[in-house]
Amino acid sequence: MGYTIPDMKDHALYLIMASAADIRNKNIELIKTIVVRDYYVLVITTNQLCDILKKNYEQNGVPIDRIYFVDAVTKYAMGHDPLPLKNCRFVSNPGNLTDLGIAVTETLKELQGKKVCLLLDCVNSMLIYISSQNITKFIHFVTNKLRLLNFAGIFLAVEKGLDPDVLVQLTTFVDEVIDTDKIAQNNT
Amino acid sequence: MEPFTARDMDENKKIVTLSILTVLCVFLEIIMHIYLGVSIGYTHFFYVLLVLAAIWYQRKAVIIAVCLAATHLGIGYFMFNESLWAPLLRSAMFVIVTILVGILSEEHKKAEGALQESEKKVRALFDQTFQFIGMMTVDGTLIEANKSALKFSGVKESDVLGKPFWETPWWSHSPELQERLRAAVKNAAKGEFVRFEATHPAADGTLHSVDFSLKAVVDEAGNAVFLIPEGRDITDLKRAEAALRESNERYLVYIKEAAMRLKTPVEVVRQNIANLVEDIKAGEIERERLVPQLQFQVKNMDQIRQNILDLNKTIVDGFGEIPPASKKFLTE
Repeated sequence: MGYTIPDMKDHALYLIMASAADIRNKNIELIKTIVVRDYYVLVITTNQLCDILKKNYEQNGVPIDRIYFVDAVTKYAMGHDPLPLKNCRFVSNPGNLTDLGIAVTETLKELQGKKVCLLLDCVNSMLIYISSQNITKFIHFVTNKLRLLNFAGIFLAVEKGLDPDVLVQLTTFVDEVIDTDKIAQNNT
Repeated sequence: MEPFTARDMDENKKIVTLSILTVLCVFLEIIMHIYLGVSIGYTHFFYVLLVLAAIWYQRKAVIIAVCLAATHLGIGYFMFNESLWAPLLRSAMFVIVTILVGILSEEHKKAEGALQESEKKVRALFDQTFQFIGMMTVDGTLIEANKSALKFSGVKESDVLGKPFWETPWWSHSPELQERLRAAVKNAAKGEFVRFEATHPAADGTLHSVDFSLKAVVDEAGNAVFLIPEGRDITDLKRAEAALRESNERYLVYIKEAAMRLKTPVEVVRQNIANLVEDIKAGEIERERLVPQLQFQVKNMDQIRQNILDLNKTIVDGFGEIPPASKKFLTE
């Protein structure tokens, strides 16, 4: 089995750092870890099409009916509305924080009463479209929502890809920051 | 017409005095020599006239001495058929004494002129310099302040001279600075050079930053006899430093944002493409999934390019003078 969050606590929020080369694998490993713990997962994807993610999850044995998506990539990449997908909301582009916020709010509302974990993949690809200041605000908004609803959350970011000042701010929003490469180095 | 000055007044007094003395000398010559037939004694009075004339007009006074000598000699020789030698000796003395005093007076005047010139230069330096300069006794009582310092705070000499320096308007706005100055005066009086940054209120009420220093003037024995306070207005320098600091901070923010929004995203896109290549090689991705994923990477790259241009524009706007060709290259 791949990487898992050591002693993952219920309702806790994590910022997980991984190398750019490892981000895709981390996404899958984390989903598997979370689903095993009976979570429903809301994946906010700003880096890969949800269609591709779905396929990858299915290939890795993840029960896809437990996965919900807010996809900020597909519609933007295709330039038109994609065909509707089950448990998936499309947002016009990764820089449209208003629509992204609405889609997240609506999906979390839909999942209320269930054991839910949000996975944001990833902070750095959002930085292509919006400033660090606005990303910080958005993550603050999402973490507030999660805490109010008593949901868990994981924010994926590329290690060494965030300014230390921004990282300090994000650290204050979550319960724990995990650098997967450091853990891997320590294990070897 | 030139105005009548105090110097002209002095000149007139001298001429009147010398004229009166000349008349008195002639009068004595007539009364004592011609009427009373006395040819010696009274001539001592002539030296009053000759010495004064030599002091005031230096060697030019010889004219008076020669005239007086000729009168004395003529009266004695031609009217009384006296021996030539006695009046000639007295007359020669008139001229010699006048020349000697005249030479001494010239030397004195030259020395005085040089001293005055030197004082004038020192005063000009003291008053015309941009720096604030003063002079204090070793207990901190201000005894001199230059015009720049007085003008800066809009005060008169009479407002500040004779007061402890820390009670003057340059320091009274801050009890902390007053205390620091008191300590500085004590240390400077021991011969220590003291320097610190202070603030002084200007005449318009604004507070200026000043590079203040205090040093002692010592006598031959090395004891402090005076203290020289100096101040240099460094407000503009401080403003420039603050602006530079602010500018550096702003550029650091841009550079950090650029690193986050350019360096790592390029790595993310590169990795996304590498993943797609792997998927294609493994035959794990269909065309309908591949195309939008590639389209997304193209859009990512477009946005990264736009971010570079935006960043360049921000830097160019804040940079000031940039050649138009360079500006176009950086922002288009």
